Amino acid sequence: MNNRVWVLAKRELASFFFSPIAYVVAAVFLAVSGIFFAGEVFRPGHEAQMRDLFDRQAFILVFIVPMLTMRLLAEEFRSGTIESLMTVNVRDYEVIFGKFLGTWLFFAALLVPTLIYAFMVLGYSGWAVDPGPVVGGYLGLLLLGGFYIAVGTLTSSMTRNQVISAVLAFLILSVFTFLLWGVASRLTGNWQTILRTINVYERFMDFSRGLLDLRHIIFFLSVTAGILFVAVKILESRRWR
Amino acid sequence: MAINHQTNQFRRRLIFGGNVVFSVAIVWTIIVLVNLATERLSPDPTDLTRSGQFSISPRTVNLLKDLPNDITITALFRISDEVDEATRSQAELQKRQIDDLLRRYSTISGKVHYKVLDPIRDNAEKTRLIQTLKETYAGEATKHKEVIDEFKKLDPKILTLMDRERNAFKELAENNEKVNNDRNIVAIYYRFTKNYTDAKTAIDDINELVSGEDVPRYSEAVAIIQKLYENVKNDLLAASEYLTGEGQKIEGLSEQTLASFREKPKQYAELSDLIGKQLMLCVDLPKLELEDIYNQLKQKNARTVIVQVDNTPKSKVLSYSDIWQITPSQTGDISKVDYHFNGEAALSSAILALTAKEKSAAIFIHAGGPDPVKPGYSAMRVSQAPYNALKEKLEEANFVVESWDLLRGSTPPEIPDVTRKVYVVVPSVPQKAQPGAPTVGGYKEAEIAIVEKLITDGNRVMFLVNFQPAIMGSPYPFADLFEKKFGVKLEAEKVVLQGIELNDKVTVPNNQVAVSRYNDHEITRPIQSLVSSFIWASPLTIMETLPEGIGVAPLITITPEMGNYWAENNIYMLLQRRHAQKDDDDTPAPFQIAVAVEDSKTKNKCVIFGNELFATDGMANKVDYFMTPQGIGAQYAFPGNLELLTNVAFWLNDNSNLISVGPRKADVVRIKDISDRGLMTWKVFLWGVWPMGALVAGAVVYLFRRR
Amino acid sequence: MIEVRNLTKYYGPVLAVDDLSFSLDKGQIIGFLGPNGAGKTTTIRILTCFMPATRGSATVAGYDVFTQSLEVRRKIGYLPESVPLYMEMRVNEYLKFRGQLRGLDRTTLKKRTGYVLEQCWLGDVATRPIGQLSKGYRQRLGLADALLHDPDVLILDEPTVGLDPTQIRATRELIKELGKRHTILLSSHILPEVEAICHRTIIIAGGRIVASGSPEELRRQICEQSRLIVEFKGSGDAIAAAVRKLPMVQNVETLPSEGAVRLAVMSKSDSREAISLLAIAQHWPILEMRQEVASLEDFFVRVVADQGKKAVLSA
Repeated sequence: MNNRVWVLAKRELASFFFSPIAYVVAAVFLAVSGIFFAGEVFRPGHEAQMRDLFDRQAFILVFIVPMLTMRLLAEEFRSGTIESLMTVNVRDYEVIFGKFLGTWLFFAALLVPTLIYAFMVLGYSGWAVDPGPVVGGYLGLLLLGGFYIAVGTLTSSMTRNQVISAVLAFLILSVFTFLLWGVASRLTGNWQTILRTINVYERFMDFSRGLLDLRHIIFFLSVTAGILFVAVKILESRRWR
Repeated sequence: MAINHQTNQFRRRLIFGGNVVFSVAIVWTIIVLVNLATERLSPDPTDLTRSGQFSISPRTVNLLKDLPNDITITALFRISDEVDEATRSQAELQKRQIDDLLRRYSTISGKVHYKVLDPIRDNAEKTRLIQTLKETYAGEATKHKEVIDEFKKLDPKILTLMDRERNAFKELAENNEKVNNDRNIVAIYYRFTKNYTDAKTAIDDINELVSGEDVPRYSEAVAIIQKLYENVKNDLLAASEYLTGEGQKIEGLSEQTLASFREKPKQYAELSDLIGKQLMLCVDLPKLELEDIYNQLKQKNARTVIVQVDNTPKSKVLSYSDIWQITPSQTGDISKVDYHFNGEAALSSAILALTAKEKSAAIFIHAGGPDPVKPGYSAMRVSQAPYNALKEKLEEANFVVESWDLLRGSTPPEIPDVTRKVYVVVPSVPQKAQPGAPTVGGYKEAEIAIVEKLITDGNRVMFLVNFQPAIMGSPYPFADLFEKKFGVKLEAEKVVLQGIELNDKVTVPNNQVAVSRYNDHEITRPIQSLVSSFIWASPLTIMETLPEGIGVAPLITITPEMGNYWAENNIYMLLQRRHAQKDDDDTPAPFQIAVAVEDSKTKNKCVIFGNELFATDGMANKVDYFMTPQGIGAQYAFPGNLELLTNVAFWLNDNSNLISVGPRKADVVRIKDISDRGLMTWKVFLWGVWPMGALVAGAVVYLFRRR
Repeated sequence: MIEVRNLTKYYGPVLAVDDLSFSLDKGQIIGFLGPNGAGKTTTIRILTCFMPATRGSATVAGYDVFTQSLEVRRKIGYLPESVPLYMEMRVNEYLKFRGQLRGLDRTTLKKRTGYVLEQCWLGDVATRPIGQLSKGYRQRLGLADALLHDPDVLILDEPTVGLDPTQIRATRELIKELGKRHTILLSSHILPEVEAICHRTIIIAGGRIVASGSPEELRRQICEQSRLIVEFKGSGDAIAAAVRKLPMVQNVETLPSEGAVRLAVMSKSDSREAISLLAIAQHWPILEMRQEVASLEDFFVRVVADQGKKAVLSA
């Protein structure tokens, strides 16, 4: 991997771990996940699976991820550190991708404490849970998280105001998850097909139910890359505007 | 290298801005194209579930990829608020199953559109659905309407007659003590009065049913009419009988009155005949699907799937029991019922039936005796055809089912619009109607020749062999044919038995063979988990030297590993003493009870089952009853039998891609019971301790980083 | 090393840098002098490829700042005016991060980190979080960062702001020392500082160069504009009259003083020698004689006022 990308990602990851806000966000994420898990999944006699939780988490993350990504570039713009960053011999894509990667790694770390849910389900069902959908769900969360973070990175690169960045990211993600999902199920014919295609939530649900679909993987990876590309172009525009 | 540095800012912005717009457009175009390409080319998703829950059969995939029309599938699913926790979680699971399945269908084909709706909550959606259904089924009720119109003409006549007659009897009773005390006359009076009032209200009731609700309820209207007709007709008949019979013996009646009694049947005849004709029409009327769906929509716990072919008046309704086959708990605990999810088989069959371009025929060959697939009509009663369940199953799989009695004609029946044919040779045992009478039916030389010619001509044939012990008469007629043509040795005089050892070393023979593992073959692969059962089966053996070009694949092999199996020769002992013993003249396992034959030269195919009873309703349609929390549940005892036969029909038809899968066992692992205290502890942990842990970790890092 | 031609920068309608041209040879230290809002920082940001110019061009070490931005940025070490730093990081972590970002290998990084920590007196705070450092330390950390990869060109925007006098002196020494091997462009609003360090000074105001040259040239220019304060023992107007008669003297002003004559002398050239000779000849003991250096503010008030008029006229 490009060394500078890795250096930037490491710094970004470290700054998450050093920032009290990140722990508050993590606590909120765990608390909300825990409420859903205890309320909807971890009930005696309920099907021993993680799917319901994963599907909720996809929703919760629409709120959580913008709080992680809002500071990425907006904070650099605000505090002026962008000046010392951009006057070093880094390419703009390295900055964007480094920040994306750092956030994504933190996001992955955020999922680690949720593994305890999997172990609880496993332990209370006599170790008989089908591991496939659990693995699929985590893979899906990582891909979905990548997409969310890319959107957050994009909105963060567009403004120096963190709140605007977060709200914008939240709005975009809401459209791609809740809105399209809700609308698609009411439509018929080609419109339904089109909306289903760009709706990330339904694609995610295939992972959480234990289906590994190459089309979804390619969708998430390509769209994430495409959004980051736009973010790079926006950051780059500062050099010629 | 050096661009014109005097380039003013505006031009620079134009060039670079244009560049950015262009490159973003290019990149996103590539992304869209890549996604479109993978959408087309991508392999079917990998199913990570251990149970293979989402593995869709090649049959469905092929079916969906070649869909000629767009299809809209509406699943009506409502979970009532009033159910207990267990039922609710079961319902949620089922909702997910159907939702998952529909989504899988729509991802396989862009032509499948679906929605899952709650008929009560999504009222607007429901209204729209009803509207489209009304359009779809616009022509469905033509005959019903005719019956209703006819009734409107007939009703005044009924009223007039009933009113006139009851008044006549009333007057008679008022003037004659004897008549007033005659129970039958009084009964006639009351019946006529009731019919009169019924006929009076019927018109209003019917008008309300036809125009009152969202959907015209022609079926219900016809039911009211039918009931009234039946009552009037029966009452008229009963009155006529009484008045001309016993009624004549009532004392103290004038001869004039008695004569008028004798005249009654003639007076009643006209109306009675009219009603009789209408009644015949009523009985023949099919149930209206629209109303059926509508009634489902109104249910508290609707679980129905409606498959509609867009822009055509074609649709099909799958009910709850089509989609979920209830299974009793192995332990007998009635609170733990599992459901086999039969969604794929049901849905794909429906789609196939709605969209299939070509039809196939399954022709049941017999030689005399009762028709294998058509019910026999006799004066006394209607007798079910022996293979009725198989027939229905094949029809569901888009076959036209016909029968061909070789004794009545030597050419196969003509079936229009059929492209492929499969022949099923079922046994026809020679029977004697009465002792001493000549035997009737059975395959003789002429009939065997016809079947042989069918095979020689390249037709696809399935044989269902019946066990024919030597003591009972002639041997199985096609045994020689099997040996000569296919290299398969059939011992129809022997029966497959399993010796079951009881505790005191007494071995009891069991003539039923339950199969849950099949040989690996195109036909059997998708139904590996389904149980099929055979009774009075005969062994088949693949000969060591086969005729040229012939390949024989075993479908079901009975091996010694499966249990103490052999094919018994001594039927007399078995039948008379219920005793059997493995002897030297018996055939030891392994042997086959089903084989598939392929001729590599002519590409001809044939399947032989060493059993016929398994295909008859007695076995194939055998239902087990058991208790469930909702009441008594029913389940097919041997679901594999019909699936196996259907798959054989597809295979013979060169439609292997349509070979169906059986329902999937819902292998649900559940969370065990947790004590209330344990649950509370976990809740505290999940809601408090674990998130707090994150905060504490944050605080520790924060303090540490301050140093 | 640095070549600036007709550099112009507008922020929207506001003109920040107006047709600026200058060049800087290898090994030179150039001082950028001017009041706040003069366009120093804007020029520096264009040179460090942080923002594009509206018109004109600039090259650093032969590379165009617009088209060969990456090479330019590899060559320069930059200390931004506001010294932006990641507050949650520690000093050594920050330097490690910046060094890795610059592509320094492990041994070089270790060596250079030790060097800059020592040069910028950061050794005792190496493991402290940046957020807890005082302004002076942060300034020095910014400087250390700029030096870290031993760049050919150092661009320092107000390097001594926030330092205490000892540190200022030491920093100036350091920059002078660095000047032997590096090309340095520094900006300041303190004339003596620029004078003390730089080979050449450019004074800008309103986005234009108002004066430039070596310290001597500049001093001469300023001296011409400055007054000599002389205090003689004695009294009466005779002293003032005598001084006024000296050939180079243009104007003499009498300043209030008790028991002495205090004069402010404006002259065409250096008049100190003539005045002292006059005092010796006349036996007027000189109690004090000093060249009153015009304060930067005074200087700018004058120059910038002129410039402003011109700008208004030319606009």
